[in-house]
Amino acid sequence: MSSALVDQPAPLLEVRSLCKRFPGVRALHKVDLTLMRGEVLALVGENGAGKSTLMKILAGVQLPDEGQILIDGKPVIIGSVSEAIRLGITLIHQELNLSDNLSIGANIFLGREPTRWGLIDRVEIDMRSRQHLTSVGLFVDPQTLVRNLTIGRQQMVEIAKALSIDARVLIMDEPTSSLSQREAEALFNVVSGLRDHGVSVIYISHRLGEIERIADRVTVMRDGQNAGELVGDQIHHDAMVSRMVGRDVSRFYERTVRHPQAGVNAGNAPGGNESADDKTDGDESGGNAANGKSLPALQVEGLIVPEHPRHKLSFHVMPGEIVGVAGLVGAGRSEMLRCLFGVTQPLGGTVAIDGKTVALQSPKDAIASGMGLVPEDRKEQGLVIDFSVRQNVSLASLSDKSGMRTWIDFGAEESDTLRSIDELRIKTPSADQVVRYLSGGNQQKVVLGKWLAMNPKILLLDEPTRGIDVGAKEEIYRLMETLSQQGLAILFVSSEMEEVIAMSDRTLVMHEGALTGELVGDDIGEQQIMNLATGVVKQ
Amino acid sequence: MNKILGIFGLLLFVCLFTTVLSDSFVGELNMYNTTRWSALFGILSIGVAFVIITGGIDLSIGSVVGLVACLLPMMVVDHGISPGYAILIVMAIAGGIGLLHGLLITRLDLQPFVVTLCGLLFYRGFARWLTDDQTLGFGRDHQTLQLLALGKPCSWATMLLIGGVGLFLYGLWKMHHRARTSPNSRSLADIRAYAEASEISALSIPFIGFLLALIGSARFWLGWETGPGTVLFEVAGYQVRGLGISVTEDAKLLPATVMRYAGIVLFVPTLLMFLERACRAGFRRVRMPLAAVVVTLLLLAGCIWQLVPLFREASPDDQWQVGAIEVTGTVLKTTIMLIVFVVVGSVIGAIGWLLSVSSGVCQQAKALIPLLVTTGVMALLGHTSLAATMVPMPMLILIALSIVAAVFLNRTVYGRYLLALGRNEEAARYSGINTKRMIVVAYVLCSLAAGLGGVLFALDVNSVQPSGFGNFYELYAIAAAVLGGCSLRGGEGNIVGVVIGAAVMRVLYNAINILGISTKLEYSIIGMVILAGAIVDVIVKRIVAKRAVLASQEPDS
Repeated sequence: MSSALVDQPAPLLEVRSLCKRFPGVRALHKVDLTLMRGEVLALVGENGAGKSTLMKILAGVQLPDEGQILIDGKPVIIGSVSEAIRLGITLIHQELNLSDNLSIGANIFLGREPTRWGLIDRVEIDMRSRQHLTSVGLFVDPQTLVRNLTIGRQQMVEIAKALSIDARVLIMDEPTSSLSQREAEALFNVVSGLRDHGVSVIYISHRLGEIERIADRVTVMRDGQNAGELVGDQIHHDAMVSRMVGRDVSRFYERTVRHPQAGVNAGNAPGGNESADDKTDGDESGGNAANGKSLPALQVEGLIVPEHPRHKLSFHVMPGEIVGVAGLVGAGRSEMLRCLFGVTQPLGGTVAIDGKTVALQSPKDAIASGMGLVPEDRKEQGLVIDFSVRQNVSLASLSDKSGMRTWIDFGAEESDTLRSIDELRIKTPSADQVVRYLSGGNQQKVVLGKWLAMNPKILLLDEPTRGIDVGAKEEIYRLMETLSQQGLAILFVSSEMEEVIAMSDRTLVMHEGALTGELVGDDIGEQQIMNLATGVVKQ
Repeated sequence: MNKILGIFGLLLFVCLFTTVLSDSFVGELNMYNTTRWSALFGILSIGVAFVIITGGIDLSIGSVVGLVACLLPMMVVDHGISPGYAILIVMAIAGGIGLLHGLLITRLDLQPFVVTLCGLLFYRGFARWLTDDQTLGFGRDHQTLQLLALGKPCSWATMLLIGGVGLFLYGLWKMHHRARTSPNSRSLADIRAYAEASEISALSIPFIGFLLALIGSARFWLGWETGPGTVLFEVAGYQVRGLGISVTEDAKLLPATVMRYAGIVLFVPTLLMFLERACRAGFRRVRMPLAAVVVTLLLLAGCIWQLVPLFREASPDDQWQVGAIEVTGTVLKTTIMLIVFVVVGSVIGAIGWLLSVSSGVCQQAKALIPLLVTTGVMALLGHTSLAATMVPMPMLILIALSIVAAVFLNRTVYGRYLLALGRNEEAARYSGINTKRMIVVAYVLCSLAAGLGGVLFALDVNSVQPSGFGNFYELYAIAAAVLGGCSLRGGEGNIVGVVIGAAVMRVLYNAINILGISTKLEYSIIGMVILAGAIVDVIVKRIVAKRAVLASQEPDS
């Protein structure tokens, strides 16, 4: 062992006691980081732990206040992005930076096109692009327009682009956040391939399962400081989470109360973990359990979603029940929610709410009949990003459910907002803060607040925890649970397997637009879901 | 609020600059004409503001104005339709045009630019064909109808009285229903300062109202007499008459006198109080802008003392000896004009700087700003004949319209929907808002405003040339809306700013005429001022965004 330590080569990249201050915040405080050649280093931490700041400094977007960065043992100053690229450091952003109106080849060589007689050398671009694409396992014509590629393949193009500029350090920020399981799988293969070729990867992700799989070493950050390092067998979900949060936590969120499957009142089951401190817990669950056996809150019969006209969907959600919808990306889950909410028109089938058939021509109708949708894309569909918290929370409830009210009730608006801020624990300096400046988790809570102000009967959630840090996730889970105990029917779509397993009373699984199965209680497991989601098994 | 103060500063700048160089700007006739034309353009601008707020654009306004202005005299004069019905019909046509635009844009997903550009061409051509390119007018038979555009229902003093009473009552109501908010900070001194500031701002609204009412009613103290009310205008056979109360000749000038003295008597102590608070809270930050204000004011005084008489004396063809250099009158005049332009600009800029820095360091100073600005403007206006000037009818219409529009935009759910969908249409739709219908509503409102503008323009000018009447009006309206704080990206805008923006456009135009600047330069100067306004706006916005980001990064207390 000791001889191995002696033989250890000098690290490719070394960061020594880096400090960065913003007015009012200490973003980084004496952070150390080492990266060996041909190593996959995972960087984990909650949102705001300082990961992004550290990466921005390495990529030359920001300058540190104090500290040293060494490459091959030599101190360097990374003053700009082009400087970072020259040193071989490339950052692949969470939101991809490709021009989707250009071809793959044009994107890879954007800004440094090879020329011949002053004209762009298309042949050269084509040839060299092909070579780089092959090394990331993408066998597509480089003249394909980027907009015609799936997100997963676009990611590969980004990596190919990084390789084409001889990147030695590849920083990947949440690379799998919008990838399907299969695409993520391909990405992992590419990452291991890169490692074998001596490229070092800094991998940032909230998905700890991935990190267990691919990381050689994990550096944990908390509040802008180092919070531990894990190597080899130590890399384990619980170990990472406890260092991130600074305390021991159970493996995943555990629900205190399950939906009473057989009409048994389970509302008084002892609350084992910290969610017992919720004031609303148990207050109303008794009354609702009595309704539990009555009509389903949402009954869908033979619904034909326009994007997948070949399949009919039928299912129901009881009041107080949390139903998860699992499936791979592109399985038609979001499309189904949008259709239920009246954004798109179904080609057939009926939707009944509390036993009454309703025709949902528009979101307005859906809201009027007691539905709320927390959409997939928070910034585009969920929020008016330049409106204040107050204006966003009140947006749906401004006009009465009848749509007859003309004047804005500023008093009700204010009290609704303050109640949301209070109940959902939205961290905001004031109700008039523009939501753009809130963190992702708090933005999502504002979207939830918008619907809670309407007192809905059915809540549709589409990827409610995407891009949110661990702490905020847990709060969202707790909220879902509280709401279900108050009798709300919740239908939620999620690509995070653990989330579906932990949160749902019942799980629906979709595959290519069809409902392939339904799992209840203990049957909800990773293997069963995967089998149904990939279409291997059908019920 | 900042935005309105900014555009108001621009208006003040153009007015002050023109007044310094020429007496005739504040003359009774010129003020009447400028306010009348500002009002006509203001009506168009309010309309287009709604469309701009949804993120769209309406290029057809000028042509709609032209079409309506042709149809109205055709119906009334050639076909003998009663004016009341004729106005209703043309307004219905205008509304229909808006509806058509809105439906094409929402149902067929056409781009607003394309739809309204085609409208611009179509309505213009249609109007020319319909009238065979003949000039139209109402002749001399419809003078009572023309009073709708040319009438002088009351004087500004009366408006001040009505507005003052209204503001006073609103202020009292607001004081009664004051929202009890507390500052974020927990230190006792901060809470005290905050409480005092909210006290000041709550009291200043009814106080300003009281002051305006006092000035407005001043002439009634000396004496008034009753007589038959004059005919204001006549629609569909009904004559609308004034109240028949008139004021004796001696009393006519009283409002201006009261305004002057009340302005100065109140302005000086308010200013002292403001400076005292601001300096005590942060002298180090206030001293630079304060020095700038003093220096620029001294410069301005110097200009008025030395340069302005020279400017008025010089005529373009003279030869002038300045020091050792011999110059022509034109060069001399231009040079003086540029110097005064820069000096007045720096005065306004320095005052703006002082106000913004002071409001940053001290809550009470910030709360005093409305009172300070009102009394200051009053002291200035007291030196003009504004209070005795009559209010043109279109201005009355504009005031009514802008109150309705402001209430619609800020107090009703529909206004909120327009703002929301202008910023993010998809999120608005997901929130259950019928976005398509709201967009149609915006286009209908815009065309209705254009139609109303067309009616008033036709009555005012009384000589409508189908080929050119209303040309470029859409661009003036859009420019006014943008100056007034509407973003062409949508989701932003306020009515008061837009109205002031329209006034800026007209005053600029007027200034070019009065100061004897070549009218060939008219477009260039207007273009430059709008560009400057847009640049300043972007810079201010960046600073604000930066501050907001910094503020949001501060740790929670």
